[in-house]
Amino acid sequence: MADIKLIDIEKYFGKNYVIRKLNLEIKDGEFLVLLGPSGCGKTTTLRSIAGLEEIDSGEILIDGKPVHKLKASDRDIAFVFQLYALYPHLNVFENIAFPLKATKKSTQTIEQRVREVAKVLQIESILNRSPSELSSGDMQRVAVGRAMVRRPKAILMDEPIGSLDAKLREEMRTELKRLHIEINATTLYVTHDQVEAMSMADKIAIMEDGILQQVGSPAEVYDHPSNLFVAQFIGSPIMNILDCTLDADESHTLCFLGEKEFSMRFSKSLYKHIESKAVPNGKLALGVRPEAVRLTRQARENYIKSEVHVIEPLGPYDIVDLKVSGQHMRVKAASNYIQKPGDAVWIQLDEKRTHFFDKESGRSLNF
Amino acid sequence: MAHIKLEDLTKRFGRVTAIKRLNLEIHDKEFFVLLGPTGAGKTTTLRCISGLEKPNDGSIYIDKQNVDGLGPAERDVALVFQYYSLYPHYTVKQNLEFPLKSKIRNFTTQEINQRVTKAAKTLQIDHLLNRKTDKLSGGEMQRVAIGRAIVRDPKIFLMDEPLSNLDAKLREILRSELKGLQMNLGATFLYVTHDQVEAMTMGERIGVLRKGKLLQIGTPYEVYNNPVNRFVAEFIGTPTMNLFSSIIHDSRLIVTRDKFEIKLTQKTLNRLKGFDGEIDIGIRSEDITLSSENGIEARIYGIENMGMAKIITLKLAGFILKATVDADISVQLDTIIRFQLNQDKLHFFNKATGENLQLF
Repeated sequence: MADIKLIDIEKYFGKNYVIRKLNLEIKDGEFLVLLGPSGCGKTTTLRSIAGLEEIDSGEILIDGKPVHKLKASDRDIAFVFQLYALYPHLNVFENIAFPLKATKKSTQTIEQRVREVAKVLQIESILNRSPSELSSGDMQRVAVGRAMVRRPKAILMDEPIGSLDAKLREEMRTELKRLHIEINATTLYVTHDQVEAMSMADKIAIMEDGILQQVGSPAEVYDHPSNLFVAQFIGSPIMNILDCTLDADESHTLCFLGEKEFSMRFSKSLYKHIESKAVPNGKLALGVRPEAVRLTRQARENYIKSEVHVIEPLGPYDIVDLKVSGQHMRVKAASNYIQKPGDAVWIQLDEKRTHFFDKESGRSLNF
Repeated sequence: MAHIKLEDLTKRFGRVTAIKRLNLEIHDKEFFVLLGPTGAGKTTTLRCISGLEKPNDGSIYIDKQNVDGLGPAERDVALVFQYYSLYPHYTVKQNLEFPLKSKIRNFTTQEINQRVTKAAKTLQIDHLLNRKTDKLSGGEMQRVAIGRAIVRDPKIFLMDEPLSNLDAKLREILRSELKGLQMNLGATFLYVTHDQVEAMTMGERIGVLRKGKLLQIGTPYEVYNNPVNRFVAEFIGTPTMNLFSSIIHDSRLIVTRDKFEIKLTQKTLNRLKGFDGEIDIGIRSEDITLSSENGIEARIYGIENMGMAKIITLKLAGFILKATVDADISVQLDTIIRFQLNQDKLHFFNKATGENLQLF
């Protein structure tokens, strides 16, 4: 396998750019997920790497060699469209061998290649079975086997499990990640589903409007989003974003949500930090995930009062939509802990898990 | 008052029975969700209530009045579809006015303006009133579609997967908003979906429908914690409930495939009511605890960091189990760990019928 490097890639459709100055590296053996909403440029990026789309400027390097001028067939890259679509009338062996049939390779070579791949994928024992007899995990292995048999430098996948039902998708996620751990093929996977990205990726690259927003491990992009877009695109339930203003007294940072009557207290150093980062007189947005808010049914010191608006049970826990100083905040609560809309509850934010953003540019001020 | 009652409702399309002797009562001001996979008969039920579809058998009552002979317009129900069905060359305002301008309604211009303004405010689309609908985002269009239902001030709202073609983030926001809206309007909502998250988060009660038959009616807590059978158990909740077969014998739960057994507490035995033999066990991922010292051994086969929590896949001989743990718990792939099942949270299903043993 190989590493892939994208340098300053740009792509226009007419006057509109689809990809803008994209720099991205996929290391050898890495599972990188390109994540973003529809129209963000992720599929165009994938197709550019595969050679199905020409780039307007920039460079694509595979193992250090520029490939963007090469034809798709000369790039040694395998494309997997769907992880469950096999030829139903061919057995597993024939399915994997299929891409080699067109290459005029000898029967012996084909046999050898298929066996090699089957060994890596641990499907040697099912080579004679028909696809209809396979479990979803095995089916996926065969689909990947069909890509690997040509010994590609990397595997590209474009929403390969998008159209499956929820339960099967869950199963496929676990199996695909497992498969990657076993074979370590350089993989670029495109999806709009943050759950797929979080659960499978070594690294996630988030795109919006043709521009790369952040690259990081699932934990990094979840815990330290670089801007408002990433903060709200990653994670479900989504991160709360509220308007806020900061002030300071002798010993604390005071955070106001709307009216100047309730303030939340944070450490003194926070104020100085945000002041040094923020645009002077710029508007601030506070971000906090539903699980980073402490919630009680009794008044407590340093907690602020709020009112229950809607209770959304999810099973293992509830999400409670609160009205706080005229704004909404959704908070994670133990199942059935909050009884009914209209109840008063008290909340406190975990400072370590509270984010501040410049509202205008969306940039995180935490770093 | 807007109370709906379905009595032995049956609807056939040719030789296919879409709904079979359906009995259901939806209370006044209730948010009721009809949940089921594709082909369950949800949309057909909704269309029968609205009058768009004529049932083959059974009766429908709205506020104790039999409406079987009434046409859609006479039933005072509003339908909101998955597809927005807005007039693209009209502005938002014109779209909202449209249902009020019908001749049979006879509203004055002033009245129409008042209603449109109020609806637009409720849905936070007042700043869009003069915009053409083809210039709106998906979420805005769906709000306008709901607005068109609201202006008529109907007693009953029937909603057919109104959020299903929106992106995940918007769906989550609109879920909260719709539930808030229903409470504010004090209207009866019948909401149809295949998405269990929507059902759980919005429904006061959920009716789980499969192949034209109602399997269970209950609050979100009830269907999640006491699913009536294996189908409901697997359909509700994510990750999907873990299921594996085992044998109950001599106060023990024996899993032959992995050669482990668990001594059952008296409390659990009471729940089993003397059952002995083969059984399907269900346990949700959050009811499995990992430990380095106590419990059954398993290999860590997968780790998924979901941000708020981690989902750990445990590999046993012949099956896997998923466990949800806190995001900050650190475990190593392919190492051996021990786990325990929370006995109070075990679900027992009849192997042949799938029925929950405790409820039958």
